[in-house]
Amino acid sequence: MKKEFLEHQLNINRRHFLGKMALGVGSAALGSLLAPDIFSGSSGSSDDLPLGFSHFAPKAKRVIMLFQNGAPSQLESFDYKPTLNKMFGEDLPASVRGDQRLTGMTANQDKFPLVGSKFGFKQYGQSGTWVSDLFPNIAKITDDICVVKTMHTEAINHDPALTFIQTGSQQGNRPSMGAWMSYGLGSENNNLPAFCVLLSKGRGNGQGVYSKLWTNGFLDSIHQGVQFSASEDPILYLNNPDGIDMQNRRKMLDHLTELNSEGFKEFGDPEIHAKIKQYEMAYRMQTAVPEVTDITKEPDHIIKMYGADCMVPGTYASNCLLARKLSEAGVRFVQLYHQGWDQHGNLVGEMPLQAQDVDRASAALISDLKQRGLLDETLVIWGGEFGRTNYCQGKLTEDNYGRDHHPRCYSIWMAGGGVKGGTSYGETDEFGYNIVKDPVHVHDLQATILHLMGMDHEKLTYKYLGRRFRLTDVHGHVVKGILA
Amino acid sequence: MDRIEKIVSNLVFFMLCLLAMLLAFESYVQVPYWLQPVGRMHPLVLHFPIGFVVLLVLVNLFKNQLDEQSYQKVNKFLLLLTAFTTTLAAVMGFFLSREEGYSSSLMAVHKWIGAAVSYIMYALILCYQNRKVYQVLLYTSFFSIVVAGHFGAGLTHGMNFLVEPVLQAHKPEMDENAPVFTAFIQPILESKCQSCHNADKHKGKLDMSTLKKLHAGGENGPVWVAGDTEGSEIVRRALLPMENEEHMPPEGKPQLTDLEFELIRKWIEKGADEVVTLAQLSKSDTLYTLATRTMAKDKSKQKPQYEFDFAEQEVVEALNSPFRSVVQKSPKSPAIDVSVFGRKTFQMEFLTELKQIKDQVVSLNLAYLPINDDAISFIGQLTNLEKLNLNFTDITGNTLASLASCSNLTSLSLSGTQVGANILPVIAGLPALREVFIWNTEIEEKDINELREKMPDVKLVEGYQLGSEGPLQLNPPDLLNKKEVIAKGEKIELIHRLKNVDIRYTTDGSEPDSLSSSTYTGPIQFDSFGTLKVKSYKEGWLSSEPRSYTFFMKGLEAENVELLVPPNKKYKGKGAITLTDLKKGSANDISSPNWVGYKSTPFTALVDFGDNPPNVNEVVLSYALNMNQYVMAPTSVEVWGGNDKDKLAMIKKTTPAQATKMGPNDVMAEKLSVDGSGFRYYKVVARPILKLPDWHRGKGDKGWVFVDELFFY
Amino acid sequence: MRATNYSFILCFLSLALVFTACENDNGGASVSEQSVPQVIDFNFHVRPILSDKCFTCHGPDVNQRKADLRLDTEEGAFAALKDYDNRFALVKGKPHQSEAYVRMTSEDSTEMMPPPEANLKVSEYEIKVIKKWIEQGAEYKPHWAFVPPVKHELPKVRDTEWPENEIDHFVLKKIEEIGLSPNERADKARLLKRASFDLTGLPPSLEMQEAFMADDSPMAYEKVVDELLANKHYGEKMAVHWLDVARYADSHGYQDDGLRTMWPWRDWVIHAFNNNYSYDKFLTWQLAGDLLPEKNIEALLATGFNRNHKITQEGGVIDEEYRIEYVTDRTNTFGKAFLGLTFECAKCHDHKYDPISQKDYFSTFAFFDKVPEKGLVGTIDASFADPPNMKITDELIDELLSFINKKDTAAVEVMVMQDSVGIRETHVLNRGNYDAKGEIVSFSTPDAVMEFDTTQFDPNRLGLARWLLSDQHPLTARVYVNRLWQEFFSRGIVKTVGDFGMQGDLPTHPELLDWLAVDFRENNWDIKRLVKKIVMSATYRQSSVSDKQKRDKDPENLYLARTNRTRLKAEMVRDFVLANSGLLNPEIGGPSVKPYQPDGIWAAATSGRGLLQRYIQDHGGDLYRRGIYTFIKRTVPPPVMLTFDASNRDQCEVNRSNTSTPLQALIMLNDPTVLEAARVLAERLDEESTPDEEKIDKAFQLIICREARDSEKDLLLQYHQDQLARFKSNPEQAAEFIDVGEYPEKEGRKEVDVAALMQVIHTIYNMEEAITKS
Repeated sequence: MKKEFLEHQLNINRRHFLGKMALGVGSAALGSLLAPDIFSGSSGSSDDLPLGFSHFAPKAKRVIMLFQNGAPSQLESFDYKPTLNKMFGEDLPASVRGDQRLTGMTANQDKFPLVGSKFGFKQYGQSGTWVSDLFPNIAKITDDICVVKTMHTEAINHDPALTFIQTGSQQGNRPSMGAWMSYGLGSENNNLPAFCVLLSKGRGNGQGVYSKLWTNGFLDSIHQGVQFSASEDPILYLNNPDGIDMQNRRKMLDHLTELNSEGFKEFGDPEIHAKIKQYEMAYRMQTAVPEVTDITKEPDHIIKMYGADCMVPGTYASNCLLARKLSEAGVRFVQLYHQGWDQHGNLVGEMPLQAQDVDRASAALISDLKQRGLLDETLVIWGGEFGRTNYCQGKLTEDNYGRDHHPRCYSIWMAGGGVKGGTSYGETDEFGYNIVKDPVHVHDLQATILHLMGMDHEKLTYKYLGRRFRLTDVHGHVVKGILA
Repeated sequence: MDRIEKIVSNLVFFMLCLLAMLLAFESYVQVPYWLQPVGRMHPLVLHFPIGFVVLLVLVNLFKNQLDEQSYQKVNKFLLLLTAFTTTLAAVMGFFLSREEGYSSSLMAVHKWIGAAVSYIMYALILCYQNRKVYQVLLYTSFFSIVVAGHFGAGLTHGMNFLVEPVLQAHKPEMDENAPVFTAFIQPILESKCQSCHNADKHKGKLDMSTLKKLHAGGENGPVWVAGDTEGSEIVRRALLPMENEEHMPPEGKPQLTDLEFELIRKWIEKGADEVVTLAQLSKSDTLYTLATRTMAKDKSKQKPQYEFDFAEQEVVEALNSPFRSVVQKSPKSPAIDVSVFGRKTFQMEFLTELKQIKDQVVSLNLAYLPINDDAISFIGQLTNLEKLNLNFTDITGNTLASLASCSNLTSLSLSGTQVGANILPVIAGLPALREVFIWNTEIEEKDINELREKMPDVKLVEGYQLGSEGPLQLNPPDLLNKKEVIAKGEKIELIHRLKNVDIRYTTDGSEPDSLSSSTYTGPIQFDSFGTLKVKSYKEGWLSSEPRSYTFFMKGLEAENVELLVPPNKKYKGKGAITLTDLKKGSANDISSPNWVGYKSTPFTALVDFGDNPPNVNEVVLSYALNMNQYVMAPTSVEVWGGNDKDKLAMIKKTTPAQATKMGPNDVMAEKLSVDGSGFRYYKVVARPILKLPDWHRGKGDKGWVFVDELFFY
Repeated sequence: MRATNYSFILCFLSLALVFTACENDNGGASVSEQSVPQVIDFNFHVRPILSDKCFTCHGPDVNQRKADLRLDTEEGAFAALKDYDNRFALVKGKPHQSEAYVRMTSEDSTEMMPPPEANLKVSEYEIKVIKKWIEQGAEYKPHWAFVPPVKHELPKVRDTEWPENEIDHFVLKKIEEIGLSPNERADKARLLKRASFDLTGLPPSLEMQEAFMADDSPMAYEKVVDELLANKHYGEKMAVHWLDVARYADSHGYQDDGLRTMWPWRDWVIHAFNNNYSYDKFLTWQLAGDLLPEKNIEALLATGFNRNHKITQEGGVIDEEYRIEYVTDRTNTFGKAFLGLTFECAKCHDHKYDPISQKDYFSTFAFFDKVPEKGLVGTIDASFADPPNMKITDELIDELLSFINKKDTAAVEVMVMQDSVGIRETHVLNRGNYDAKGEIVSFSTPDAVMEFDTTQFDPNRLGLARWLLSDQHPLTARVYVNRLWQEFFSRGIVKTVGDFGMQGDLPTHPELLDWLAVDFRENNWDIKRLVKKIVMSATYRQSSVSDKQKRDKDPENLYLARTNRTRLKAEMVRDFVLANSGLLNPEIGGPSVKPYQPDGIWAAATSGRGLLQRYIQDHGGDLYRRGIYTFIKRTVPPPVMLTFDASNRDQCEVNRSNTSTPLQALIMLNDPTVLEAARVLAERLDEESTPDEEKIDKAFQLIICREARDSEKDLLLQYHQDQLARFKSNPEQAAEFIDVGEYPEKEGRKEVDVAALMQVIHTIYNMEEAITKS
C-alpha cells in the first residue's frame, strides 16, 4: 500500500508539475532533487509548462558564466577606439554625452577629458577581431568566440547593475539565471547541484559579491546556487566528521532509514519518504562531489594550459578548471565571479594584473572544452555588469587615468553552444560612448542564453503572489545575429 | 398489437416528457457516470430512426402496391419503431451532449432539431388517422432528420465533412501556374490580417476577405497602390516600429515574417498584378526567387527531422536514475540524449538497459566511465546515434569497428583514451562523421595527417599541444600552518601543489635563489620570531615570485596586561587582551578586532609578570604597515621597566626605519633587547607619526600606529 | 389513460435520479476541480479565472487594456465591444452569444482567447464554469476580501461532542460536508511537543513532559498551554515571524554591506509579545510611534520597523534614487504586512489585477515620504544607524527601556522614523522612475479597500494606523489572524497570506476567517487570547495520522480533518538541537551573535572593506544562543539558516517555503553544532550510572519527546552495541569523533562509550520525526 500510495502521489504531482508531457530529467528529478516539491506539493505554478526539459531542441546543454565583477573597461579590452588616443585630454562633446546621468563620483567633475587605451590593440584570427595586448591568450581563440560590443544596461552602480544582469531586476529578490535554469531544466547529473557558484579575488579595486546574485528567489530553495568554497569542504558540511568513514556512515543511514520507515507506518506521510531520499542523495553527493572537485589528478599539460595558479584553490584559474570539471560532470550552470575590475583610478596599474589573472585561464577553458568535444554543447560567457567611461575620472596624467561607470555600451564575449564563433556583433561610435548598430540589452542577453538552452524566455514563468514572473520580466528579444 | 402499441406509445410519451424536462432544466443537469454509457450509445442508435423514416417514406410511396391490411400493419409497426428509436436517440443524444467538448452553436442546432423530430414522430402516431396531416408531418420529419443527421455528422467529423473534398480542390495550390496573388499573397493576408479585417469584424472599416473588398480599402484609403511600395498603406504600416500605434499587424498579433513582407513588397512593386503566375515570371526576378523560397519552406515544413517514433514516457522515466539522465530533446522531438555519470558507481547495466530506447538515443555521453572495448559492441546497436562521447574511458579502439552500424554518427570524442592508429579505418568507414576528438590519445602525427588527406571534410581535433609557447611562471609555495604565532618546537610546513617542485628558502630576509639558499626537505623549526622567504623552482618553468612569512614564537606569559592610553574608539580591538591573545591581524584588514589603533596619542601598554617575574631578554612589538590607510611605522618604540608600576624607568628605545615611498601592506616587528632584566612591570610605548612625509598623499596629516601583539622572550 | 399517469410518475422518478447526481458544492476552494458546482459564485468560481487569465489585458490597468474591454467591472464587461456592429463580451444567459465565451472556446489561433502569445490556457473545467455562470445570468459581486467581515452564526454540526470552541464548529461543518470525520486526539506526548514548539519554539523539558503525562485531569492540557504562554521564550517564538515581516537584519544590505545596530528594536518586539501588547498598540507604535500625541520613547523605538529596509553604502550612487527606494520598500512592506496586498505591482503602472491605481500607490507612498533622510549617508562603516535615529544610553534603559539587553556601557544608536512636515511634495513617479516626476499627490489609500476619510483620520502615519484599525476595515484583522493561523497549521485559511487580492487563493473557511477576525477585533486585539483559542481548539489537537481515504479525498488537507506534519523553522532546528542537549543559552535579547560557520564564507564575498569583511566567530555562551540571535549579514546570510528556508531578509516576507533537500541532510549529519550537541548529551548521559538501554531511552525521550517503541529501542540498542564494538577496536576514531565543538569536555569521560552513545544520539537527531511537529 505504501508503494501504490507513493505512485499515486507521484502521479498527482506529475500532472500538477510537468503537465502531460513529463519526461526526461524532469521526471528523473522526481526521483531525486525535485522530490521536495513533488511531495510537499508546494508551488503549483508552472501551469501546463513541462519542467525538466527544453521547450525546443537546445543548442547548449550547460552554461559557464565567467563573470568579471566590477565592470572591466571595454576600451582596454575589445572595443578599439583610436579616436580617443587622438583626442587625448579633450573634453567629451556634450552632444555625445546627451542626457546620460552620471554617478556621484564624476557628476560634479567640471571637465570630461577623453582618454584612449594605454595598451595596444591588434587584430587576430580569420575574423580579424580586435583584442588589446592585455589579453594575449584570449586573442588566440578569437575564432571560437563572438565579441558583443553593444551590451547596454540601465543601472549606473554596481549593486543594481549586478543584480540586474543576474536576476533580471535591479531591486527585489528574484531568482538568478542559474536558478531559472535549474528550475526549467532540472539537474543533468542528480548527484551534483544543478547550479554551482565559484568565487575568486582579483588584484585590482574590489567590489563584493552577495548571495542574492545566486538566490533562488521565490523558487524552491533546491534551485539556489550552491557556493563552492576553496576549503576542504567544497560544499557546506559535505565531509563526514572525523572518526566516521563512509562505511560507518552507510551503517548509520541504514539504521536511520529503518527508523524513519517506522515513522511512515504510523503517519503515512509522504514527506518521510522524501526525507529518506534526501539522505540517500546526500550520501551520493559525498562520493560524487570529491570525485569531481579533485584537481590533483589533472595531467601536467592541463596545468600548463590553465597556468600554475590553477593548483591553488580559490584562484580564478583553479575555478576555471573546476568549472570545466563540473560542467563536464553535468552541472547545468556554473557561475564564476572574479572581483577587482572597478578601475576608477590607477587603471594602468590595476588592469594588467586583472587581465593576467583571467586571460590565460579563460582561454584555456575554451580550448579545453573544445579538445574534449564539449564546446559545442557548453555555452561560455565572459563579461561584467556595465562598461566604463571614455573620459577620465579624477586626475588625468600622461601615464595613468581612471574610468567611471558607463551603462550605455560595453563588451562581453560568448563562445560554444550555438554561438557564431569568430564574429563581432554590434558597433559603437568612434568615442566608444554610444551604440550606433545592433544594441544588445541585458534582457536580450538573458533571452538569448535561455534560447540557446532550448527555452523560450516568455514561456519559462513562475507564478508567485498572483503574478507570472520571468527572468526577462516583460522585455527581451533573442539576438539572432549571434546564433550559429 | 394494441397492447404493444399502448406500451410503446406510453414509453415514447414518457421519454418525451423526460426530454422536455431535461431540456428545460438543461443547465442544472449533471449526467451521473452510470448514465454516460447510455448517452454514448447515441451515435449507434441514431441510425435506426434515419433508416426507419426512410422506410416509412418508401412504404408511404408504394402503399398502393401493397394490400391495405398489411400496409396498415407494417406502417403502424414501423411508425411505432421509428417514434420509439427517434425519441430514444434524442434522450441519449441529450445525455451525450452534457459531456465534455460538445458545447458549440452547432450542437445547439442539432439538439433542437433532433428533439423536434422526436415530437413530430409522436404527433405522427396521434394523428395517424388524418392522412393529410400525416403526409405533411411525415415529410417534414424526413427532411428535418436529414438536416439533424448532417449537423450530427458535422459534430463528429467536422462541419464541412461532406463538402471537404470539394473545398480541398479550391484551396490555392502553391504551384507555378496559380496566380502569384492567390498562391502566395492571399494566404499571407488570410493568416496575418483577416482575423481583424473580415466580413463581420472590420477594424478601421477594412475587410480583406475578398479581392473586391480589398480594392474598396478602409477608412485610411486603399491597402496598396500598384507599383508604389512607399505609398502603400500595408507596406508603410508593416515598416513602422512595433511600439507605433499604427504598426500592422498590431503588437501581440502574429507578425509578418521577413519573407512574407518582402513578397508583398516586391509584388506591389511589380504592379500588384493579381493574375500573373509564377511561371510567367523570369527566373531572375526577385519576386520569383522569393516565391520559390516560400514554396521550399512550405515543403520542408512537412518532413520531420526524425523518422523514428517517440519512446514510451514510462520507459524514459524508468530509465532515469541518479547515475543516468535520459532526456528527450524537446516535446516535439523524439530524439533522446543520454548521459551516464559516476566512475565509482558504474555498472554495465546502466549502458545495456538503453536497449529499450535504442532507436531514440542520438547522443550518448560515457566520459570517464570504466567501460572497455566490450561495451562498444552494444553501442553499435544504437543505430541512430549522432554524438558519442567516450573521453577518458578505458577503451583501446580495437573493437571500435562495431560502430560501423551507426551511419548517422557525426561527432565522436575519444580524448584521453588509449586509442591509436587502429581506429583510423573505422573513422574512414563512418559516412556521416564530421568531427573526431583525439586529443591526448596514442594516435601519431603522421597517421593524423594521412587521415586528413583521406577525409578532408572530417575535423580532427588534436587540442592543446605542449611547448607551443615559452615556459610559464610557477606560483610560490603555500604555508600549511594556520597560525603565525607558533609554540616552542612547533614546525613550519610548506607545500607546493605541483609535483616535484624545488622549494628554496631563507630565514635572514634575503631573496632565495636556486644555488645558495637551502632546499626545503621537511618542516622547518624557528627559535625566535623571524621572516621566512620562499621561492619555488621547477624544470621547464620560470621560478616563482618570492613570498615571505613573518613568524612569532609564543613568548613568556604575563599575569595581566592593560592599555594605559585607550585606543581610538573605532579601532579598540578586544581591549588589552588583543595584545596577548596570540591572534595576528592582517595588514590589509586593520579594522579587524585583532588590532588596536592609535592616532595622535601614543600606544602605551603595561604588562605585569606577577610576584616572581621571569627573566626577559627581548621584547617584540608587532605592528602594521598600511600606508594607503595612513598606517605607518611608529616613530619610536620604548620599553620601560620596574617593580613599582608608578616608578618605571626607560630601559630601551628604538626608532624603526620610516618608509621613504609607498610600499605594500605588511606586518612588521620591532625587536628590543633588554638583556635578562627580571622586572615585574614592563611598559611598552609606540608613538604614531605626527606629520606624514611629503611623498605621502596625506602629507602633513597625522599618521596611525596599529599593534596586534606583544611578545616577551 | 392510466398508463400515461404511470409514465408521468416514472418520468419524475428518473428525473429525480438524474438530479441527485448533481454535485453540490457551496463556496470555499473545491476539493476536486473536476465537478462544476451547481450554483456558480462569482467570487469563488469565476473571478479567479477571469483574474488569472484575462485581467492582464482586460483588467484595471488602463495602459495595458486591449480592445477597450475590461472584465473586472460589471459595466465594462457588459458594454458593447469596439470594432463590432453589435457584439458583447458577456450576454446574460447566452454563452454562445458571449464573445468572451466564444473566444475562449475558439480553435482559431487568431480568435482564441487568451491569445497564444500570452502563454496562458483556460482549462476545460474553467470553460465549463464560465459557461454555466453565463447561463445562470453572469452575476458580478464585489471581491470578498474588500467586504468588511461580519460574525457569522456558528454552524450546526452533527457531532456536537467534538468541538472545543467556536473554531471547531466551522471546521467540523466542512469536514462533515465532504463526508469525513476528524482525527482522534493526538497522543499527549506529541500534543505537548507540538504546543511547546508552536508557543515557545523549544522542545518541552523532561520535567514538563513527565508532569504532563502524569497529570490526567481534564484541565491538564489547558494548564500546560497557560504555562507555555507565560514562558519568557514565547516572545522569541512569536518574534521570529515578525522579523521576517519587518525584514530585520544586522547589516545594511547592499553590496558594501556594513554593520547596523537595530537589535534594540528586536528586543522591543520580543518584549511586546511577552507582555502581550494588543495588536492595535503593536501596530500603531511601529507605524507611527513618533507621532503619538504624548511623546513616548518606547513607541519611538518601535518605529524602527520602518527603518529595517536595506540602505546603500556604495559610493557614487544618486541620493534621490535610493531615498525613493527606501520609501518604496516601506510602502510595499506596509501593503504586504498589514493589507496582505501585492502593493508593489502598482508602482510602475496601475495594478494588473487589483483595484489599486498607480496614483493610489503614490498616495500611500506619501505617508512614508516625509522622513528627513538621505539616500546615501556615507560609505561603509560611516554609520551604524543613519539619521533619523535615537541614542540608547544606560540611563534611558534604567528609566524606560529595561527590556533592552545592552552588553557594554557604550550607547547604541537605532534608526527610527520621524516626519518633518512640508519637507517635500510627493509625486506620482512615471514608470516608477525616481526622476520621472508626475502629478503631485496627497495622503490617501486605495478606495477599493476603504476610503481614507480625512475628516476622520489625520493626514499622517498615525492617521494611517487609525485607518487600518477602523471597525470598517476589511483587511487588517483578517490578514493578521490568517498569518497567525498559518503559524500553527502551516497554511493560512487563505493560502496566499501575502495576497488577498483577485489573484490570491480563496479562503478554505471564509466564515471562520471572518469570525476570528471580528472576534479578535472585538476583544481589543488580544493576541495571546487568539493564540490560546487556536491551540485549545479540537482542530489543533487532532493527531496528524492520515489514512488513505483522507489523503485521496483531501490530499492537501484543506479541510483539516487531520493536522499537518511540518518541519521546524530554521531557527527552531538550531534551538531544538541546543535545547535538549542542555547547551542552550536562555538569555533573551541583546546584540546578534556569530556561532560556528565554515571559514571564508564572508571573506570570499567581501569587497575587502568594513568591519564585516571577515566572520569572527564568537565563543563561550554566545555560541549557544537561540537561532533568532544569529547575526544576519544580508549579502551573506547564515548558510545553514538559508538551507532551512529562512528568509534572507531582503524584503518583507510573510511565509517561508518548507522544503527538504539533501543539503539539509548534510547539515544535520555534519554540522559541528549538531555533533557538539550529540557529544555533550552523550557525555551527560554517560555520567549517569544507568544501563545503556536507559541512557538511550532517555536520549530518545529528550529528543523525540515521546517514549521509544520497542522496535525502535531494539534497533538503537543493537546499533549502539555495534558502534561500541567498532570504536573499541579503533579507539583513535572514537577520540577524533568526540573531539568536536568548543564546549569543554567532561572530566574523565570514557571516550569509547561516549563516542558510541554520541553516534546513537546523533542518529536520533537525524530522525525525520525529530525536527518535525507531528
